[in-house]
Amino acid sequence: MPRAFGILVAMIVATALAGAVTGPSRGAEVLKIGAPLAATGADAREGALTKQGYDLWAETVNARGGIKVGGTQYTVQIVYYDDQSKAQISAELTDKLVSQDHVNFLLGPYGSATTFADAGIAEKFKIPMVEANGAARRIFQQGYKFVFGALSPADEYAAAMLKAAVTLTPRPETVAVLSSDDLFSLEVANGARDWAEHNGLKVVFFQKYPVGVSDLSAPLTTIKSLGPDILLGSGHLQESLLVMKQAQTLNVNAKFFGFTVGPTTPDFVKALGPAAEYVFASSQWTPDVKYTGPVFGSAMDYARMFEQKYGFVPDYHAAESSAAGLALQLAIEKAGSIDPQTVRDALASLDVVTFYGRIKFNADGLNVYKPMVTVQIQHGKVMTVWPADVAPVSAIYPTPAWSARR
Amino acid sequence: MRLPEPLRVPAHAVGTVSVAAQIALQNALNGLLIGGTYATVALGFSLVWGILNIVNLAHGALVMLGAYATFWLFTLYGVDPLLSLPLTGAALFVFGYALQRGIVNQVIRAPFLITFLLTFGLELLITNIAQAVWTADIRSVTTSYSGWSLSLGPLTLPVVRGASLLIAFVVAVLLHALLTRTRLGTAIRATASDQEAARLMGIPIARVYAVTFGIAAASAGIAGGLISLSFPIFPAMGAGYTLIAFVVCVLGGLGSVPGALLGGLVLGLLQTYAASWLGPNYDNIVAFSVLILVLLVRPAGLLGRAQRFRG
Amino acid sequence: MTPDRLRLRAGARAIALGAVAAAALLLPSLAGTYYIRLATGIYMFGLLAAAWNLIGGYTGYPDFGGAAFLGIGAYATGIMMVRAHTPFPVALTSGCLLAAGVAVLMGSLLLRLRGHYFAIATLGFMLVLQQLAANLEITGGGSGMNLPVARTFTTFYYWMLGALALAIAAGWVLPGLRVGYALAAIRENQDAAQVLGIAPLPYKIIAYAGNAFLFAAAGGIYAYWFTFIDPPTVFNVDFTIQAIVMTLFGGPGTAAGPLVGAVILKSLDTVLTSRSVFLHNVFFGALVCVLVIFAPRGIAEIARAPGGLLQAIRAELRESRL
Repeated sequence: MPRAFGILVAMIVATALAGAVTGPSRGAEVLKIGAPLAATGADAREGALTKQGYDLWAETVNARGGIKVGGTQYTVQIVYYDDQSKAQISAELTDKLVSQDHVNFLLGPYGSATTFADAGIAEKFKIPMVEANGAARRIFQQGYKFVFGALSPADEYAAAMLKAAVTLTPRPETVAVLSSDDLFSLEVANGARDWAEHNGLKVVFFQKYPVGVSDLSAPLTTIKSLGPDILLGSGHLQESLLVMKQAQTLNVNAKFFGFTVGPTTPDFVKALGPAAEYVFASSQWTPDVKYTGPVFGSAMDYARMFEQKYGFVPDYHAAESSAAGLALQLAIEKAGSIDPQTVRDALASLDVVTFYGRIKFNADGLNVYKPMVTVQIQHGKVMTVWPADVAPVSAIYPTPAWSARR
Repeated sequence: MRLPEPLRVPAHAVGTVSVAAQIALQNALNGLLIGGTYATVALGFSLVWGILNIVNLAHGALVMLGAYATFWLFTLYGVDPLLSLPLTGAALFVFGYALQRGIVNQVIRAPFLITFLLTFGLELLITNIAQAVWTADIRSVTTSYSGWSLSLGPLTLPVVRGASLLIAFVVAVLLHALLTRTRLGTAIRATASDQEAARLMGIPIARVYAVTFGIAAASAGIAGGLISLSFPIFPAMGAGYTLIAFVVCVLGGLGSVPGALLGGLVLGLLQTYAASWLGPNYDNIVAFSVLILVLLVRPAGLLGRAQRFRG
Repeated sequence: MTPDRLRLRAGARAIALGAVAAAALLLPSLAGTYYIRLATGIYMFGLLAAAWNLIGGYTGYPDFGGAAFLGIGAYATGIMMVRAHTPFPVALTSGCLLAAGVAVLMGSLLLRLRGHYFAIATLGFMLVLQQLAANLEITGGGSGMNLPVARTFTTFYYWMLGALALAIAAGWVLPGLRVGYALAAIRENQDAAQVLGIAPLPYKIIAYAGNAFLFAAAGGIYAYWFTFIDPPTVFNVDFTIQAIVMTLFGGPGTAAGPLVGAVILKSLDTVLTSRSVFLHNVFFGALVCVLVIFAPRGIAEIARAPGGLLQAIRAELRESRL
């Protein structure tokens, strides 16, 4: 026991001492930006896509000489930590990034729950955080002043698809909603129900399943007997794959299969093969959108740049992440300073069009000014089909029955 | 081989069935299919628990390895997943044998909490190494026949999952025959029922344990291969299956092949009907409430042969 | 040992205890916020480990459902603060008492089981509560629940420290009490204890309820500290597993062991997380394996062994391998 005690005393004293010695070692011309990001855990896949977006932005900026503030050129350095897809660890790491690594600014983690946890820390330290991967509206209802979301909020995910669906003929009439039981997915699902009910669509089925569910044959059997025109899945990539696989083998036919997360990632088509055809999804961004802006040029230019570096066409996860970095950069340049408060004010009044679309934040810090698009998988490619003015192709509708597919 | 799709049995041959009954019937099939998967996963888990008295928390990780083995054989060399099952099983046997000989054997006589934690550590190791090597990408084995289904009157039978159920039965029967009809099986059962006596009879205990672990790993690998045919796979997929195996063993009684089969099917039906009547987010409530009830009321499992292989 | 030396050792121990207390109390005024947060986290795991030690270490019942009580504490605190505007201390205490009450009820059923069966039943109980919380209205369901935001994080440091002190103290006094003797007898041989006239169930329930009370305390403080809880975060088996590993590392069935385990392992984990983004879980997994193979009774046991480290490890291996 005394020995254990000795260890304990030493530990606590050492911790106290280490805490007391906090020497700021801020590099003169390096702008440190912190990002806690999932490299392991449930969101590891999406976390990797997010990181690619951040990295591409940092490299592009640095290749152009860095961020110019007054007379000084700052090289961007992003400090990453693995938050293991866990909110409490993400918050801990955000604290570490600010108070230990002395980062100047923060970029968001992946996922609504982690973003939620980190936002509170950013707010407490008054360090601006631009995030692009936490879409839950609840994050922005806390009155935070230093948290900015470059992406469209959760309810838009469902609305974009339903808006696209009602333009199709014959107009769909019934909707079945199958949602994962988490903050983001439920906001999407409830958004879908509200929009449907206010726009003359009948919601005939609405159920929740636990995150990471391994079998959905029972709800799909019920859905099959109801024969809805639209089947809307609100969940994660793995669950979207599961719904499609089981819908196929249980012969569940809908005229419109739509998912919020999944079909735009490269894994989706790779994993499903021909069964991925005709699937609709909402997307924050596609290379087809017609926006052009600073640093990256047009959406097409961005996609090309990304493909050159990583070997595949980027989906919105990468683009929105690059856009978050870009928004931060533009605000810093506009502020002409790296003072957190000044940059925060510049972010609050930012209004630019970029490759990603318009970036402007409302009083809550939410970018409600950028519309989402609806995509469909056609011949193994993710094609933009709505809104009509940016869509290179039109939607294939109704989706043929499984029996008529081969 | 190409099946014409859909293969229709004329509706009048089955008679008209109301929608509710049709759903209930289809869910019986769904439940049996997922239950077959649960049973295959639980077979090896039950064996190791019943004979080595080790609750192997890394069992799900072995299932995951089997799924990836099948995936890579299919993706890189075009080996049909159903044909590669024996290969996957053999590879996992070697892995399991080595794992037992090299690591698990070091603590085989320690209190159960120690072995519990050791296998927990192994699960972390295997899962995370897999993630570092293969990334967290979500993958799937999609063959030309993946999407086929048969229409049997009002029922729809996914072909691949039906085949998986069949293979699950075959594996169970083979395993049962191995345990009851061969010298090796006799040695395994003797070791389980009285380790000291078995040792005195000249049975090499350590090797019997390693072989048992290897067999369990092989069946986990085959389970993984079957899962990869119908479900998305990713490095962290195993943990959920370990939990399922646990429940199946408690329901069916451990160390017993028929028990694992029955336990798996019962759990599959239970969860499917719970999901159908209450909603998919009641599956754990139902599964684990039943588990606790069975433990309290009938601790030996539904078949009542909990101690079959143990002294 | 002479009485003089005994007194000397007692004195040294008192001084050490004072130093620990002073360092712990003064830390917030010396360290930056990150270290305060880190220390709060370490205390939380020390608290969980010390709580688990009551049922797992002293009683020998491998509870894998401790997070059930952590979740009860978190949700009870959250619901009372949000819906009834109860002050935090009242909400926290109610949550702890509620958890202890649930533990008495469930314990009187579950504690009849032994070994693996007890482990899986407690784990199952935790998973049932997790899904129940996801399906209820009052908890906010799967969308989770927001608690009011506290003005300063330093308060949580002291709350966690207080709860930790309570847990350590419980482990400290327990072996000297009648309950402690009974629990030790139950751990060593339950059937023999019964023959000696010790009715095991009530004693086991006391240990289980104590464990539940402390897990709930951690949960309540955690909820207010992080301000957002949802079912998978608080009803999370990771909390229990970490508590077990830390207890085993530091030495189960000792008062300070769990805290030593928590301090060392949580610090190590923090360092690993910041050094290697991809492989820290691999390191952690390897650490657990090495630990249980070479030092299943904790590092303190190994360090104290008469023949030195290597011999102790060799003896350990001889004993548990085949």
